[in-house]
Amino acid sequence: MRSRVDVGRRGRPRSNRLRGAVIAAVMIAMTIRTMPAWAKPERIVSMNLCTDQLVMLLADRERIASVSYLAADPHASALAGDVAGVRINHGLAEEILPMKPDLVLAGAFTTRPTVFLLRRLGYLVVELPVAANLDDIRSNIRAVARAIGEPRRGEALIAAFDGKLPPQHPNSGPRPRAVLYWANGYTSGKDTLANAAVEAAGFRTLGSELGITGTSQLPLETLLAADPDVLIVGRERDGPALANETFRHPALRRAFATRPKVSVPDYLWVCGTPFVADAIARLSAVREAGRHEGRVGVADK
Amino acid sequence: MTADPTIAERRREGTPVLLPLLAVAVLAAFTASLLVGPAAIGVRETIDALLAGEVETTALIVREVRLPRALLGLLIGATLGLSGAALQGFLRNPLAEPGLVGVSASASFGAVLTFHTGLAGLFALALPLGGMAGACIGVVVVQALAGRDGSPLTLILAGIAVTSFAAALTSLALNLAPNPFAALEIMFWLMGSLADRSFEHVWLSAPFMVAGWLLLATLGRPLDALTLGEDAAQTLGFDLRAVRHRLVFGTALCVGAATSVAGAIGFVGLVVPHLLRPLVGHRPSALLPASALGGAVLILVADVAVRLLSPSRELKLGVLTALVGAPFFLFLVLRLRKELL
Repeated sequence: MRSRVDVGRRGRPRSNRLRGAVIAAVMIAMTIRTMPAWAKPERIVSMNLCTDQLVMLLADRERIASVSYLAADPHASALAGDVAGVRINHGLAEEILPMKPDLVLAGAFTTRPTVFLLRRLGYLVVELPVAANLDDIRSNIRAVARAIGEPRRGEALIAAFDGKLPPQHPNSGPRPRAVLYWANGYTSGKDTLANAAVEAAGFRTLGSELGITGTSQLPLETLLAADPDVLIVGRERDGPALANETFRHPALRRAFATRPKVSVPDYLWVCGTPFVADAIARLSAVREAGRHEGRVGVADK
Repeated sequence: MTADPTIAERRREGTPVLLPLLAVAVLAAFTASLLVGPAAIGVRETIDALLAGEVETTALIVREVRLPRALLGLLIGATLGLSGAALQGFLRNPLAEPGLVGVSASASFGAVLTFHTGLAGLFALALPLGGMAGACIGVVVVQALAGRDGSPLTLILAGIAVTSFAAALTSLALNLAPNPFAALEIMFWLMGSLADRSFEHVWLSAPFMVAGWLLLATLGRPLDALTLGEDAAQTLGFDLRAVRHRLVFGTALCVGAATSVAGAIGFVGLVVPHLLRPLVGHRPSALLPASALGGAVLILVADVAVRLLSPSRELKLGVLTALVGAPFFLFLVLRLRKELL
């Protein structure tokens, strides 16, 4: 509302006053729902697990009108414990419109029809791409911080993230080979966050070596034949799932009976949040432990 | 036109009551669709929101979220019911359904490709446009495969071939999805849903659906003649090749457009004609409008049920229609068996 006053005060000739007022009125009508970049959004709605967590890390709680139901899922969200008191949405326009959001955060792949509907109705929707590497985490933090008008907090969060990463010495010590193994026998290769995290922890990954891009199925035979030093598995979900059978395969259990098997909870790296640094630290510790015991580096000829 | 007296007799049986009844049911289901949703809005407020010119949240929800959704439910339901009835009439096969001519599968594949290439993320209409492109290619291939003659058998075979190939390509696209989120989104889309569609979708798909309806509506008399057999129909002066062309293009237009905006919604086109056939005296021409209205009722009711059963995390519409449709179909089969014994 302040902009109308500002425009009106400018000492324009009278004939131009009216036109100025009209332009101002039109501008205000346009900006009521598409908030101008200089104003801090006060009713932020996030419809995506990853934007949920970033906005909870960056914005004051009273400015967050709602986060997605996944943010409260302790398996998927690192901030599930902090969601209490924030309204939950399921990415439906009917839930979001009554909140009268001045900023909607969404993922680039989820809730497509709702995003387009909200845009069509004039709401400001900021979409965040899926983070595929550590740089994407930084740019996503920056994007959310800018959208909510907290660029300084964004830079501070990035600095904290970078501070938690293990120091990179490209040629220090062996780079043992790790394999990422998810439910249903999937592995991740290039352009995936998990792969980038494992490499940042000082490992080589089987996914990268096999030339896999994205997430795709890895035959158990290929895994065993490659004889990796460390097995990194996703946390088994509760409830019966055929998907989990892959972890219980006798051949896999025997092969990794004496080698380190690490499980990293999904919530640490399913999204491009600073929590990925915790996953990296955890993996990095496994590598260090293995190096001291002289076990992990053995296969690194 | 020797069949005419009996047809005229049959016409008196049920249709004069049935059609208005169905129309009332459509109206009721349409109204219910406007009244139900996660945002609690009363009947009075809904009517106010529809009529008054205020731009408030309530009006926004009713006019821009629920109204297009209800309209699409109506259009898509009518499309599936009408095309199902026309196909079952032409093929004289109770198992025929709109997906049979290959348009549903090829429209799905076209839409999935836009997900895969990221086009779907750029603008709202990329997805339905991709679906329509897929449907066009599908129908051209089916027509080419089915050959010149009007034989139902070659049409079925061509339809199955195109459906299987498009389904395989869809699986391939899913298999090669750029990331798990995209794969999940594709799978959800394939299940069929009307959630959060806007008027853009209505304006894009409605003209094609209406054009398809008009083509299919001309099939009443030839389909009636076909009940006497292909030879008899030809003797009565109907060109079966032309009939087949109209059938395939009509179905492609409306089902292609429907699938493009809502994903694949099964069982409606299969079950509705079955349900209504005895009520119209087994006359294909009378079944066409009845089935269109019946399909609209079923989709609208199912779409309301989806919102009532799980108000927040919506069940997918296609899942619900299959869940309700399959046991019902089983019941029909059992009853048919009893009649035969």
